[in-house]
Amino acid sequence: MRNATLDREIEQLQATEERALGWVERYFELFNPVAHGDARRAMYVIKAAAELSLVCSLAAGDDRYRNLAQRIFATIFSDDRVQRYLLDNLGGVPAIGFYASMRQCGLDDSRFRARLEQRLQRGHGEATERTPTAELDYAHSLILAGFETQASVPELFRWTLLSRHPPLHPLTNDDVYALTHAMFFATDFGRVEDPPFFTTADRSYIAAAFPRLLAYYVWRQNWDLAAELLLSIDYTDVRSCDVFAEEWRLLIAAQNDDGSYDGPLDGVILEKPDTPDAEEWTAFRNNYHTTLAVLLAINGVRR
Amino acid sequence: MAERAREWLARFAATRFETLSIRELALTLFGIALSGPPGDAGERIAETLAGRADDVRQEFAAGRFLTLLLAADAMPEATPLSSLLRESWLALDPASYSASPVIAWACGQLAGKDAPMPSLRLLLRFDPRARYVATPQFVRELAQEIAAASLFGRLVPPLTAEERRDVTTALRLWAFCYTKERDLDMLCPVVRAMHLLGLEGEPEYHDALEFIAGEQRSDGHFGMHEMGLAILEKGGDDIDRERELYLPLTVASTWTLTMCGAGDA
Repeated sequence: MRNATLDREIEQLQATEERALGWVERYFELFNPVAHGDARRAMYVIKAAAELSLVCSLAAGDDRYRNLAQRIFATIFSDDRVQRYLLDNLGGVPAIGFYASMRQCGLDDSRFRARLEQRLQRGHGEATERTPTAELDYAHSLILAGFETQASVPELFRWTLLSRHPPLHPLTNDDVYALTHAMFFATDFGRVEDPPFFTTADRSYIAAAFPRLLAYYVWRQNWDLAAELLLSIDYTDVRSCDVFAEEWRLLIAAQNDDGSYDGPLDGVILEKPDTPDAEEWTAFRNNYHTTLAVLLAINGVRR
Repeated sequence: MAERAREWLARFAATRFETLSIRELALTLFGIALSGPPGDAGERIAETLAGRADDVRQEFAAGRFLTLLLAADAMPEATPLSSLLRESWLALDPASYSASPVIAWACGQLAGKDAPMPSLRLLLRFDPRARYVATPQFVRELAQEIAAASLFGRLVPPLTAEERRDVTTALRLWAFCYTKERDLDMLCPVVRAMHLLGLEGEPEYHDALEFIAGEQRSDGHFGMHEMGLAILEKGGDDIDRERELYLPLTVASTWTLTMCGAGDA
């Protein structure tokens, strides 16, 4: 017989996911770059659309996400303007990652693939400077997209910040994103639970550092990094520790009534505050990433 | 470390003596007496406080007695100030002060009034989940209550195993967070509470002490850039940094490092 508390927690997680998915559905149009008249917004939401496709690819067995992926494919990814932008910016946006996620959802586009392959052969993907974690992201995307990489994930992992086991106090938010992202790609988003190239020192560092950083970001009420850290912890053996129930409860309780999660504003100001949709756009821009991060974390727990 | 802080406090007192309030005088005296004999500067402050008996009684009546009592207690021997504080304490109506019963009890002990320790008010109602949402005021009060329950380092605080576990979890979290935030002001009482509960083995404790020691400037004072900026942002560009920032932070840091055995660092 299942524990009643566990049942209640699973119900709460499902309700949280349902509300967050409802928010994504309601604002789906804002994920579409073609729907934006403003070029800066269009470029911004290509990243959002790619991240939404990633969420779908990691929950591909679920009809709700499968339907969402089909919508992204039909209305966003297949648009020629979007594809041209992706091909022209292979290093600047998660272009290959977007394609790889669609492909993981069983939605391939042979014409796009041929054009992508051609550009890769000409070296377009290498024509940009990337941080070590972004390089790992790039290689991971290439692998998922079915292309060869110049360096392997284990080789690239050794150049990341995570592999250097940095002290925690000086880390900025961007540094912590570099740690969580390195975990995502090194573990193939949890599909490789304990990567064989992790050293004993890597495992010890992750087991000590990630729970402490999680506690810090929950204390700061930074739900974006809290969700990413919960997800990272879920990809490791550390997750067996029941102390995270507390952090999950606080994360669930932080959900807005409309199903979204407040993102860290980081001083970003509202652009064109006089436009009629400025308020809606600002709410979307600030909240979409954290809402997707929470959906990823919930899917991580479910797996 | 403590010696340089003491020299800064003595210089601060010498240059500002006539303008300092009772609270500032008491704070300076406490800081000076923490790490050795009070010297000329300390004795002058103690004599001045003893001579301003009416002002001292007013401070007591307003509930601002803790720093005065700690300062007198840190002196190596009883002084006329000690007698004045005892007399001021006994003249207080216990119903008039709002401090927690344990803090009031500890103050009474410092003033020489023996009484049984009451129950820990904050700890008994402490919900461990609150560690993530505790206000700075709550953190301060909890740390202060632990300090009072230890009679400022003389006793082991009488916590149950459950209280101890919950408070340890909270203190470790706050020590990590306030170190990461570089918040010397909040970190000091948390680290002292950890020390008083015997949590010297925790990594957060060591990181915090290292951070506090590193915040001392070459002239001996302790500062906190972030707090200065926060005050400036609120329009306090005419603040007296020495009085409002460096004095309390120097005393808090010296107290913490001395109590934790890192005063010679």
